[in-house]
Amino acid sequence: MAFEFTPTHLHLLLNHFPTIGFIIGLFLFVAALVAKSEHLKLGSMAVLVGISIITVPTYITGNAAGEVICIATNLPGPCPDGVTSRSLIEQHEGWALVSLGFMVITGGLAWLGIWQWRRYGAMSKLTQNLVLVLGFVTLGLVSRAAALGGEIRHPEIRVTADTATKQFGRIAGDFISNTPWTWIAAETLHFIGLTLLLGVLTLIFFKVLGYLPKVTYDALDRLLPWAILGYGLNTFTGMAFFAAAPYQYIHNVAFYYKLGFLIAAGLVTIFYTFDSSWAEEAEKAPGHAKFLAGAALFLWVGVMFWGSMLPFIGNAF
Amino acid sequence: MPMSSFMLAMVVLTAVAGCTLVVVILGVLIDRTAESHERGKGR
Repeated sequence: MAFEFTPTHLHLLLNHFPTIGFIIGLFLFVAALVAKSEHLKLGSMAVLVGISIITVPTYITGNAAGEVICIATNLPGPCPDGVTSRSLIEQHEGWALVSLGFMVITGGLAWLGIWQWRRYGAMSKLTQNLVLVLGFVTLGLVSRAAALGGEIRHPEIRVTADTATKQFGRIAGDFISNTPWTWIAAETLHFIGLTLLLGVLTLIFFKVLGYLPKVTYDALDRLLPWAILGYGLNTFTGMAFFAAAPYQYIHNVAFYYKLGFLIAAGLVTIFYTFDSSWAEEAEKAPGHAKFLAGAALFLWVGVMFWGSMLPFIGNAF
Repeated sequence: MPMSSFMLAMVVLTAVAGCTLVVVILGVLIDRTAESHERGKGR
């Protein structure tokens, strides 16, 4: 039996998460607000954070899947098979890019709610209201993206007409590649985000591993939102690079390694924002927290390594 | 229209400064909220 696993398979697997998963997270959050359940609120916010992380690879693998069914989608004209609509693919890409932006902001706010709850026992009303409002906006956007995605390969449900109008994904992508300043500015911001993220996380991981005895966990934990802001900045600038030149990334082996390391590093790091067993003053961090700190350091260094190898191993640029 | 190196540097600097300012404002707002909550709880 032949076994094949490509970015297209991954897209077909992941593309249900941003809609179905987000609906589950958002409605659990609404139920938590109605039932005034703090634990359900925390659980629902954790789901929203998880879905916002998964949305990044879902978006990225979409370009690879698009290329398979409509070769070189950056060329004008219909797809070679005569059935698939290039216009629909580009409409889907445009709505997905906007949804991704909103998803990252909503996920970031959900993370902030969890951090606030862990740190001072309550989420601010502003954070909750923003998650609620932005959550429904995001759900609307991602549902539109999903509906368009379904129509690409299902002519039996197709209601959206082809249009010659340039779609948002290509407008944004072409703007970034055709203006001399956007790529340089985004690259600089990417490094600022990296510094914020790794600056804070490295201190926390070293503290957990037993160094920095004079620095309190309390002080380091207070810096965590800066790290997450850095992560957000890097997601936006990273997606700007990708939207500008998707075809130099989807065939780039270093890019997939970077993405894999990034997701693993992100998930391991999330532990330090959800769990507080690592942050007991005057006590040594438990063994699993130390192990995860070492793993996270390795993984984040890996993210930087594969990022800098994009042109050398992956022949980008 | 081609941009001179000086203009390019100025535009990049403005864009980077603007985006960084947004991040700093957000970070300070989050930190101030934490500060006021923790002071209120006598932490």
